[in-house]
Amino acid sequence: MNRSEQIFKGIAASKGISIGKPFVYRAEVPSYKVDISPAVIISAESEISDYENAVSQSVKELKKIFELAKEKLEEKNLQIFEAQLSFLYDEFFHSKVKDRIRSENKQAFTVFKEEIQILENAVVSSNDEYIRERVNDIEDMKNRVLRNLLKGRLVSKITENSIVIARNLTPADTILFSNRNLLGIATDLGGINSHVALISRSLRIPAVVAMQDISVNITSDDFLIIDGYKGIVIKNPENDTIESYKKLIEKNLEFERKLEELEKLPSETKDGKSVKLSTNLEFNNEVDYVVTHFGCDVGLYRTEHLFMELGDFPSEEDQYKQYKFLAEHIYPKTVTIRTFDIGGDKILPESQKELNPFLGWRGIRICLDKKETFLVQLRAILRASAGGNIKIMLPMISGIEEIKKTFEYLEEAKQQLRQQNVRFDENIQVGVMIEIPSAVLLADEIAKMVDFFSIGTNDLVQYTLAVDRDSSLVCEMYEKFHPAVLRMIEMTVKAANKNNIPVSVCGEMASDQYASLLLIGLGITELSVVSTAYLHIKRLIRLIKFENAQKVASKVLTMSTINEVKDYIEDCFNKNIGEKLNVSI
Amino acid sequence: MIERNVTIVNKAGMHTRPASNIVKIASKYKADFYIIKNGYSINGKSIIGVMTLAAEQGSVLTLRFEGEDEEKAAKEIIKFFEEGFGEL
Repeated sequence: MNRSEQIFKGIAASKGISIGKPFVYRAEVPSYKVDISPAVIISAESEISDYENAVSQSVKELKKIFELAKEKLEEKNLQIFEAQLSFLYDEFFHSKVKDRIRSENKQAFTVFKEEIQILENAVVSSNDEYIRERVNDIEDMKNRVLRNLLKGRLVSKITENSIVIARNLTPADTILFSNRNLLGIATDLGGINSHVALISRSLRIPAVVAMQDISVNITSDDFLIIDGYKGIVIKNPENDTIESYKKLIEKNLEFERKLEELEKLPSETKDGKSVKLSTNLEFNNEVDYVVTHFGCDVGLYRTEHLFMELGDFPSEEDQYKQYKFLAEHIYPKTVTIRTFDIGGDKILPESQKELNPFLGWRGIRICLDKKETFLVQLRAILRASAGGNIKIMLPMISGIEEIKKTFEYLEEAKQQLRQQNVRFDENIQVGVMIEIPSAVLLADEIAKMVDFFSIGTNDLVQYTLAVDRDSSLVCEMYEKFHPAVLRMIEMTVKAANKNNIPVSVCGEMASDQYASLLLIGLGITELSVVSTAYLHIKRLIRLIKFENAQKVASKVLTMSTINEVKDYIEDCFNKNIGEKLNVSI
Repeated sequence: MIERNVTIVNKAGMHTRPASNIVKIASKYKADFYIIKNGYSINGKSIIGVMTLAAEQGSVLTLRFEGEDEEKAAKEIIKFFEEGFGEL
């Protein structure tokens, strides 16, 4: 084996440096290469119980999907689920799989795949087109079972303290990993705003994405350095390299320690303007850190992970417990809970997927269509609000009707609780995400209906510029400094000011030092940032003058190209600097 | 043991819905139930087995029933085939 040092380049998606062993994760089921040597089987019985668990998990998922899809799909399409379910109920098939696992001492994964292959071959060779099309249903069912089989295997297999190497990670995969102590993540695909990047940043682990082919070039025998600043992974580094990286880690720790001195200091500009700084939160294991180190509000609590961990909408009781846990820990600070912002692509089966999921059934649209599910979440949030420190935030609002309808549902949920004499915050505040251009254009009217705005810059950029941030072909056009985006933000701030409601930014833009200067200048009153950026942004706020930030912002609003904006901001930073970003504007 | 040949008469053939109904009916009975097509025999109580036959309109299948209630089982299932799975 070639042991000499080798550098792989990608895009830096989450800062940090780690040194350690890789865990190579191959999740893409269709191309998953399974080692069928008997040695990897612990015991046939454990394979069989893995198989049974995977099947029952798949049944559970499908039943839920069936429930969810019932109202949305035509009768004809519903049969697909029924068919898939009946496949999963086929005891004869299961006993054949189990018998073969025992007699051939092969992995459940392999046997199941081979047996389904027989079925697929038969169906594909049919002369009848309708029957041939059934192969899609079989494929969907097969992938579901295989995925669950792998998932079960994965949880038990991920070694702690390793650097995960993968072709691509789905949000569900990433969440699965998040419960482990990971040193870092490097993937072939993905962009700076892909889910894996966002989650890595919130977990404070380095991540490098868009590495092309790292997943096939690393094996579990290798030793790695992942550098989330430069966006590189070094395979089998020389001792000198390791030493210099160890020094770098030490230096970074020192900088972090210096930043920690800012923890107790107020978040205000040099000229005394206070800028509210809060944090985004997704996972419970971040809560303690936020409370002890920052003691700030949670400006955005995402609830999607509750759904994705379960593959299903959690019960009212489970949600209530979760929200109450948060509210109690954060108290007396407040938590802004965003209702489920799930894409239809997370719910619908392969064969029903929308061509444009970002323009499809997602966010508030799903919640309003699925009234019962939404009521469950609203009741859970209300019940947890008894302490008076919870706000509700609605994602993907595109117009007035959605807000009206949500208020009807919210009133219904409140009424149900009142009837049961359950305590909740009668005056709970409700705000909306401003992330669709139509909401910006209607911001004045919307502001009259709600208690606050929060600008979701990630989606706002994507929808304003019509750029899919996950598409490698156009992601370079995804640009937060686009003059149109900045004007969208300005319009939103104006409408909020006119109607006397606060306006925050909870997107990635708030966590970027260059951009946050602009946001403050534009009149944003609150920045909600990922916890890893919290102190960096506080440092920036304390180094600038509000007066100057306003000047920068109004100058930028006169510009018409991205480059003008970028050059000007960079120039502002550079002019006053000894060291980069040692700002004093 | 009862053995009978049947022809698939409905247009869409023995697709998912009829297949799952066949299995449902067969499972009510104690008798073993096999479907044979071109010498290939599958268990008629297994939907995946039945789907594997990929039997389209015009296919000729042999149905075999074996067990104490084989007559009743044969009667109901053969009828279901002759009626084109209710899709005629």
